[in-house]
Amino acid sequence: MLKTEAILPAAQVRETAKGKPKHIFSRALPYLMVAPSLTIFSVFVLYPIFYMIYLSFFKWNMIGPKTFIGLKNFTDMFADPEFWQVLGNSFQYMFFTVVLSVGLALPLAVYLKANTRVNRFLQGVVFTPYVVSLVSISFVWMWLMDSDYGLLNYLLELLHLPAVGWLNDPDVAMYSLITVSVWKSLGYNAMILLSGMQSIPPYLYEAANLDKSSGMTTFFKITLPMLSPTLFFLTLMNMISSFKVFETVNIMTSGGPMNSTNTLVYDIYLYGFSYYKIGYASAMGVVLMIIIGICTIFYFRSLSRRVHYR
Amino acid sequence: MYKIELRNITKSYGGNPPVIENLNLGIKEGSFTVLLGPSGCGKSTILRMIAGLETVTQGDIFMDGISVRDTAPGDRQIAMVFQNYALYPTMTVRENMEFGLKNSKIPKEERDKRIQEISEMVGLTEYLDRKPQHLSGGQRQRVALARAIVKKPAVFLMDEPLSNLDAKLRNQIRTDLIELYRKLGTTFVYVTHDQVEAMSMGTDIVLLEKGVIRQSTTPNEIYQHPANVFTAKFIGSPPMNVLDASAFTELGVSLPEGTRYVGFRPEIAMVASSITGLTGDYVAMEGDLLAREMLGDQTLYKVQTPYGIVHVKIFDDWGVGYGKVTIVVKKSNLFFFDQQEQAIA
Repeated sequence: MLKTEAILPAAQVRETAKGKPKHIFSRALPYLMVAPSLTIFSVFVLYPIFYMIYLSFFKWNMIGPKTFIGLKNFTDMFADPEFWQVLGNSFQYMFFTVVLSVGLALPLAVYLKANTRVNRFLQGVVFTPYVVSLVSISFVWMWLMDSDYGLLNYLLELLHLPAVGWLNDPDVAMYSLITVSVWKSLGYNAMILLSGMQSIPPYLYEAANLDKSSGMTTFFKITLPMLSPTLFFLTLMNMISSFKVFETVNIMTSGGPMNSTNTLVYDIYLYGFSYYKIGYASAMGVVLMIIIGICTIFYFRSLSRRVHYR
Repeated sequence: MYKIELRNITKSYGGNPPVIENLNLGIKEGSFTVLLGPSGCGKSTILRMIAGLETVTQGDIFMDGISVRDTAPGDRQIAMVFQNYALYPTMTVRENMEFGLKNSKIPKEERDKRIQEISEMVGLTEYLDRKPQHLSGGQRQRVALARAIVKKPAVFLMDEPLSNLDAKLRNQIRTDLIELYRKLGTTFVYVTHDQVEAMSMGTDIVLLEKGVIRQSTTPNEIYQHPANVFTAKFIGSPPMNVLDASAFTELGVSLPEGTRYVGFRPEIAMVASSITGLTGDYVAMEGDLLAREMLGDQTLYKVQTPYGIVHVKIFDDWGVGYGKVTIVVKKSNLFFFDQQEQAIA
């Protein structure tokens, strides 16, 4: 008994003497642990973002010296009607893609909900476009939509209908791109909605059944409200991805005809890598970042406020 | 005439052997019938078949003498309270109560009147505009009840409605339910695995085991005259002590013809360190006290006797110490069961 008492204070002394460096090390340890991922994040995410913002204040052709021109890139951009057209195109593309791909996914999900063997097969089928590379999809659709030897116009001809300039009519081309985008994301959206529907507790439907609720009432009063967080998530995700559309535009129309399918990301690409106006392209990149940033903030805000049922 | 009658009901899922086979059950008008049994005995399945949430594989269900086999759940004049309440999370308390009424095309004034009346009755008036997730467990329970009452059904179906509540609240709502039943005077069908709930609330108890009705009678009768060993052991806490008949012949008790098991309730037995001057009306057995649980108003004793473990419940504790004890039972309080575990009258 006495012995332990004698040892204890000594041990404490030793610890306090050694305490300080150990203390610093234990405080630094967490930072050391996150350092690798933080480094990667800084180099590949933070640095490019800040460099882009930095470049947007300069005039630079990638080879010569950078000239600081203040906000001129932005004032030029906002004064340029073509920029507004491109921005308008982007919004048009986003709006129709989101409305159609989410709007059509909902009835598709309702249809696929019944757990039959056919439906399990169909679930795989509708999901496939999402897995295939958008570049390949673009080429296939380009061929389908070719105004001279494409399948779509061939079918129209069979029905004695006039041919459509799917990709070379300025009034139609944008909708052709939207079609491809909807076709690609529909299955994915339907699967997300389907899983959302399957997570609605079955006893709610039993309660509704006992409450004499008709199929329509049950859908609008129970399924849809319970699905609203999922629908909201899908809408924002689709909005963000539509704003970033590039492959289809690049491969199928190159922004044409008459700039009718030119969207923000494609325009950034044109300015940056065809016209070598890096500063101007960066300024557009800043605008794109702000738009997507707003969507993201909106999403995370709602996510934290999202109701947790049960 | 029965309010609800199940005739030759068989229920099986898929190609599996039936969970309920050829079951016949009558539920009296205005009764508080409790379907009681351990989990997996088919009590919930029976309730859900009455509700129409499960199809009947064979047989028929009658309400007021009319077959409801092909009647949709919403048209059966019933209201159900679920174990997890099944409140619509996206609707307020008022909307939850109103949903069924709207679907039944009840006019607005009538709906408002009923909601007002019922929410006052269950004490929910100030919560009408809240969503269920902003209510406590007890409040949700009351919303679930209110949603059922407001429909003015002919039959209330309740599927373990108290099992998600803590013990204190459960006792309170149990009393509330008895009051409610007396106020409404409608038929209640109540499913539970808790014999205390069954005994305290029910006017009729239907005790089930593995899809078979073991006994169907009043709480008093099921306690006083258990029809078989299963019933005897299921009702009462701790369960009835059931020992081999040979123990009692050894102790010099004359048993009825064919007795295989003899039982006695823990609460009618006595336990003491030593007992003298017993009359012939009593039987005594010795044993070792294994555990003593002092619960305040009562004390539970677990005794190892040569014939098996025996539980005794004493209300006035005599403070029996650990060691050798003697258990005493009045012979007239013994229950006798035959080879098939059926009671011998």
